[in-house]
Formats: sequence, structure tokens, C-alpha cells
Amino acid sequence: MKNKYNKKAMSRISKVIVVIQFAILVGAFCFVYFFSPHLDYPRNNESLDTGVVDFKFRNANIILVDDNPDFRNPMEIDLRKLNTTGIRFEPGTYYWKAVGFIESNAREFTITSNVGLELDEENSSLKNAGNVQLNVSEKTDSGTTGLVILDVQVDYPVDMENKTIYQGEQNEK
Amino acid sequence: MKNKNYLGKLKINNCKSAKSLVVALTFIFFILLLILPNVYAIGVTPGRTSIDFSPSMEKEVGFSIVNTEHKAMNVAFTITGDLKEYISLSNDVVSFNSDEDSKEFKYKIKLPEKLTPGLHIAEIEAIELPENINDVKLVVKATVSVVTQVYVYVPYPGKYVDVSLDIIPKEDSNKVNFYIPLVSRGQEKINSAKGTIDIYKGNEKIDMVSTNEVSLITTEKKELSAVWDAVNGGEYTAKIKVVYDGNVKEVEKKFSVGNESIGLLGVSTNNFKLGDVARIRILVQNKLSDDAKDASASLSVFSSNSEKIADLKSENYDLPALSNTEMIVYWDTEKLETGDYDSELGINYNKKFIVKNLQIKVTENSMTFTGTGFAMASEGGQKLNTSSIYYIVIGILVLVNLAWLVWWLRGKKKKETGKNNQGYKKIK
Repeated sequence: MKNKYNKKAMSRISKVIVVIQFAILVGAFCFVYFFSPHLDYPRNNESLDTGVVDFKFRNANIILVDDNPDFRNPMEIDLRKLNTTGIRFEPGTYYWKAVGFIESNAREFTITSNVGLELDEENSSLKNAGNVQLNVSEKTDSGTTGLVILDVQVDYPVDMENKTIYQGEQNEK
Repeated sequence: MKNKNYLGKLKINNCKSAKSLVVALTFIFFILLLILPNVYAIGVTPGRTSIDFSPSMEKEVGFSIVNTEHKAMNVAFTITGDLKEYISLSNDVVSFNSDEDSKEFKYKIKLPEKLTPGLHIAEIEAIELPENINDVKLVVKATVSVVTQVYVYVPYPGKYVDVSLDIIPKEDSNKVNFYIPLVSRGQEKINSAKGTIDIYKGNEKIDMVSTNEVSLITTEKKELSAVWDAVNGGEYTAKIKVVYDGNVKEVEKKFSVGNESIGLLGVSTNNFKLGDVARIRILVQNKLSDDAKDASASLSVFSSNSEKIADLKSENYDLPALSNTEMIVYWDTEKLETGDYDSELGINYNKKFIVKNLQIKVTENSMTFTGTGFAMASEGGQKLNTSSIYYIVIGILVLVNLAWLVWWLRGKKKKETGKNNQGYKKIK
């Protein structure tokens, strides 16, 4: 009789434990789904041609971005304050995570360098139209000479002599 | 009959004059084409591709040529550099239509069995040509070209490290963070790399800090770091010595701490009306103990699709020591529409440059500037993350199951003891 009672108690406790475990699992998944930040874009290891990154995520308002996976010196970006999701970045590899009630896992994205050079005949000027500092050279029949190191979106006056090629290449970095 | 002849002559004359008109118009068109100012623009992405050498490596690398001005043009490719002979490209000249934003291309790298240690470079140059010209030599006017670089790193024999240095002083304290990125460019593993940073004020060494220690395998990138508590603000020099398995590399860099900077106190406009010339007041604080001469402010404004719509500059100002100065930038808003804009505000002073990202909200009667885009976080990684939650849940479940197992084993043991006791009674 006592043995039967013990068996019944054991099976009841086992059932309770199974229910508790199930409840913990469901609770954890619900918590993670509703409260943990979810990163949508940029995707992990994505390469982006544009310097402006349009972050997409949920369950968070602040993101941390760093060029180091350890997030030793992150930029903290509060997109609510900025009222925008697009943030400009220099070329390079970055790591980001969102911070809400808890923190998301980190993801990586790369901004590829874009070398762009504009020659405006009307204003006789060169402009760095890319997203990296340029080393601009002047190529003529007599050879190539270094002209200027041009920062992004900066104009530089030139003589515009015929048969001249103004060459732009990424500066050392 | 006479009339007929007359009409015939008239027709011939009309025909001739129409032909001459077409010829004249064509001539004028070409003259105008030559005279009219033009914009030559071309882009290439990526600007550089870095590759770690392996013997006889073959690889295809993609790049895009960007038709920035959306015009019909030809683009000629040339390859230069010491890796020139190992790179091949299927096209010499390609054509772009005005509706083509960009085109993707590939070049093939076929490296030899051996190359001397160090950096080897090839440059693939894309030259903009007029749409009717296929040869660079035939170009009469000035034009532009862009380069996509190929960097091939060949490992050095033994142990070798490339060292660079980033110094980031914290704005809100006198703490200075030193980051020393290391790249192992040697054939052998580096078991220990560690740095010491000597801080100099002028020629006098005033302090020394040590970094953490790391190990690196070939081509691996890791970072050494250290924090220095500066006692006073000012200009300093950091002399860094990285010791890796008995070898030494040194780097030196100047930096400034704390007080020696210009602070942005606020940006505003008064009595703004859309369509007028806005007078933007930028209030800056010179925290230096010296005057900052010839300082200027620049404001770049970007539309929602990241196109620069305004590039504004102030005149030069002398910012007196330890005081506030108002710098003025004017913005003609005739073509501006209401809405939100991104902007970059730069202050140039003493050959230094600080940049703040601001959000501009423009309405019919107001222009407001809000928030700086980036603020340094004091601490990162303090909160729980998703993985931690999973670990905690797994931990709880493991503990619950362990408790259950212990409880079950104890129950079983009790049961067996009970059975044994019953047996003993029977024998007795």
C-alpha cells in the first residue's frame, strides 16, 4: 500500500517537473522573441557598397558599433534621437549589436571602399566623389606626377590641360 | 515649260539649302560639344583588394565600374604594377549607356610559385573615354581615371609583425585609450607579442604603460591595448615598443588630451523662413589656453538618399583662448524642401578637424538642429545577451534535471532498503 502511494507520488512529481521544464522553455523562447533585440539588416558578414548603413532591428533603440569584435570602444547610436536609421560609415569592417532590455549577439558588416573622381570642366576642378581619401596623380605624355591627396567630397582646382589623365587611387591607410 | 524649269531649279535649290543646313547644324553641334563644359566622372569599387599569398594561387576577383554621371561613355582598362604579368582581364575597352549605373567585371590572378617577401601591388586603371573613342591615345581633352588596387602580402621568413597605432582620448575624462593592431606577416607563429608605451611631454618621459599580451598565427590580426590616465591636458607623444618573441618594432605618434580641444556648444538659426538665406549660428568653445587662429566651420547637408545637397563654409575666425565664439554659416534655402536632413558639421582649427553629425529638421518657419550622431559609450557589453539567456535556461534545466535525478535515486535506494529489510524479516 505504502509502495503504491510512493509510486503515485513519484509519477506526480515527475509530471510536475516535466510541466515546469516545458514552462521554462516556452517562457524563455517567448522572452527571447518579445524582448531580445533581433537584428535584421545589415546581415552578418554582408559587404555594402554604400557608405550609409540603414540599420534594421527590433526590440531595441540603441545600437553599438565598433571596429573591434570586443566592442572595446563602441559608438553608441540612439536612433530615436537621430530620427533616422541611416548612418554614414567610412570603409572598413564593423561589428554591431542592438541594446534593448537585453543585448543582442554581435554581427559583422563591411563597407567596401569606393574610389570616385570627378573632373568639372566649367569650374576647372577635381572632386573626390568616393568614400576614401584619394591619391590623385596627373598623367601626361611626359610621365606621371603626384598632384594632391584629396579628402572625401573635397574640390581641388586644376589647369585642365589637354591630353591629361587625372588618376585617383585609394590612399594608404 | 519655263515655269516647270523654274520649279525644278527651285526644288534643287531647296534641296541644296536643306543639305547645307543639315551640314551646318551638324558642324555647330560638334563645335558646341567641344565648347560646352563637360563633367568627367567615374568610380570603382572596391578601391583595394588585399590577398594573402599562397604559391600558384589562382583567383577571380570582382569589381564594379560606376557610371557616376549616367552618361554614354567608353572605359579603357590598363594594368600596371609589379604583379601586372599575373593579372588578366577579359575586356580592354567597354561601353556604358546613359541608363547604366554600374557594370561588374572580374580579373583573374594567377600567382607564381614564389614571390619575394613583403607587399606586391597591381593596379587596374579604368579610364573614361568619350563614347566614340576606343583608344586612350586618341583622347585630346583632359579626362579622369580610377584605380582598383590589388595588394598581395607574401609572408616574411620567420616571425614578422605589421604594427599600427590608434590613440583615442576620451572626451569626458583624461583617460587615453591606445589600440595597437598587429598583423602577423611572417611564416612562423608568434607565441608572445606585448607592448610598452612611453609617454613624453616635449622631450621628457613622464609615464609608461604596458599592454596586454597576445599570440598570433600567420596572417592573423589581433590588437594590443592599454589605458593611460593623463594627469593634465595637453600635447603628448607616445613611443610604442612592441616586442614579439625577441624581435622589436617601434611606432611613434603625437596626441592631445582633455582641455586642448574645441567644443561645440550649439547650432541654431533665428527668424528662419524657407526660401530665404538662413543664418546658421554655430557656438563653439575654445578650451585651449592659446588662441586658435583661422578656425572655420563647414556644414555638409545630405538628402534622404544620401546625396550632398549643400556644402557650406564659414569665413575664418580667431577663437580667443578659453572663451566662446559664434561662427556664422549662410545657407540659401530657395530650392530646399521641408523635411529631415542629415548633416556633418566640421570645425577646422590649428590644422585639426572635428566632425559632428547633426539632424536638421526644416519646416516653413523653422530650422532645428538636433543630437550629435555618435557618442562614445562609456562601457559596452554590460547587459545580458540572447546567448546568455539560452545558457541560463539550459543551466536551470540541467539543475532541475540533476535535482530530479538525485531525488529519484534517493527514492530508489529507499525502496531497495525497504525490500532488503522485508527479506531479512522473512529469514528471521
